[in-house]
Amino acid sequence: MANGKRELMDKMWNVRKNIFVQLFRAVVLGLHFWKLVRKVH
Amino acid sequence: MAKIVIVGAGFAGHYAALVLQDALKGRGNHEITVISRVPKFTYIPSLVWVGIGQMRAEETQFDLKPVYDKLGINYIHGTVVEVHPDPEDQYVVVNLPNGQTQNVKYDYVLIATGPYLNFPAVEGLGPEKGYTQSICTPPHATEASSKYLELVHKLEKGERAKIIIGTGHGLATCQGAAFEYICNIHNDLVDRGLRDRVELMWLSNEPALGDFGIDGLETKYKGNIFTSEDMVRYVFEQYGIRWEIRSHVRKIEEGKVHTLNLDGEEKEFEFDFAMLIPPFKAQPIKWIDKDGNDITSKVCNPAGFVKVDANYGKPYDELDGPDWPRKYQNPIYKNVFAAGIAFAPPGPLSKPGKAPDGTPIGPTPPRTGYTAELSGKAAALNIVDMIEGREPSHTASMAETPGLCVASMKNKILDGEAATIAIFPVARNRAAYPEYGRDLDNCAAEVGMAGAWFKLFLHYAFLYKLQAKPGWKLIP
Repeated sequence: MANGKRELMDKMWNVRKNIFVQLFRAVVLGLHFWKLVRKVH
Repeated sequence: MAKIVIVGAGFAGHYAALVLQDALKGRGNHEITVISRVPKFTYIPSLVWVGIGQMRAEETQFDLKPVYDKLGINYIHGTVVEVHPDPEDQYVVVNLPNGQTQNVKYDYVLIATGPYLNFPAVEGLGPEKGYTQSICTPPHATEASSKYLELVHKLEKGERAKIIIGTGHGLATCQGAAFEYICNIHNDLVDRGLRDRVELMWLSNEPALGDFGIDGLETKYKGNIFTSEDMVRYVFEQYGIRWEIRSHVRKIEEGKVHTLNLDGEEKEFEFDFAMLIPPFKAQPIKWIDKDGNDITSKVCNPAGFVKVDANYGKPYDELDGPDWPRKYQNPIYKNVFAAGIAFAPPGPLSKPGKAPDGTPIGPTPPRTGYTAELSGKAAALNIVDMIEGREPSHTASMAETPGLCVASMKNKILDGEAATIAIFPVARNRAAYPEYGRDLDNCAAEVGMAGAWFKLFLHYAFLYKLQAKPGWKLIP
């Protein structure tokens, strides 16, 4: 895996259980899912 | 008055019944009948938790009949064995649990039967006549849990073990479910302090890690193209899971899997516990014409899946988005629709391969869960169009709709993790997105606790929606 990608994965892995980061990601991913769902409903 | 028969009550069939009932409400005295060989709906994505003893099978299910009684939908508990589609006398033949048969007439029929789990395709595969476990049905997942917990008990006494999780045939699909299972097992063993006593191995027919039967996915992040292969490789490295991909399972003996890979290498792997997803084929339904001839091969593909409005017969390299079905209508019998796993895809999403001896190895396309729901909904609304004298107008091509997947890795509220994956569209569509076949601005893949919350939320939201409880239509 290229260094840039490994750094990205390391970063994602290190915050995967950080409650504040994950609350923020839940909102971002929730909005993303909603946007995609609205395309087909 | 139109008679609509829906065969199957999984994601596609059951959701189609709800959509049809809602769309036809107050628009004539139409009759909707659902025929299902299982009297319960099962939220299959949660069976992964049943398979490690973290949830009871009953928590993933509800009885269909009370829901249909509430909505005025007829329900027949039985197995459809024949369809007679010729216009003079259109009906399905149902085997009832009491051994009798019943003919049910229809004006429109939607086939949404889900898969037949083809364990006999591989000697020794499956929990009933073989040596491996499955998490594809509630009884299988419950049995897998019991066998897994027996193994845990041995590990607690100090024994060591080898576990193999993945796909049990070169043409199997649903790699995502197996990925969830191996990750959940890893984390469960970590929590029990037993992980160092177990060798965990991923065995799959995927051409690359993270393929998942959808040809993998790419996302953009800070100028990098980041792939599902990068993600899964990283996760397996962190978890200490070794992998063997590009592999067909030739046969299974007690405690031993024999494989053949795309390079022609034959290998053997020992196991104390294995969960291998079987290949799918269609539920065995015969199509009979008015003269009594078997026309199944005319209506269905060789695996028995019903042909719809797709472009069949193209080689993989020429297959593109516009070749995928949009309306889920059979080209010969226009009042026949098929959705979910029951429709015949025009080809695989992942690159197919062959071992030197010609054995095909490559995932067949998944069309479960949300994709199944969307195809069921489009078929249902197209039936409404036809009842009201219009041409079918509703579409849900896999090359025009998103794939939304949350792959559980550990089911805990404050310590869980899951891979959240969004792709648009599911089937690569180079006619619309020439570079990757997908709109990378709408694709996402990340691992975190947020995904674990989503996964749990989806469990309750779908079970609520599919029981048609107040406000169910607000849940997409």
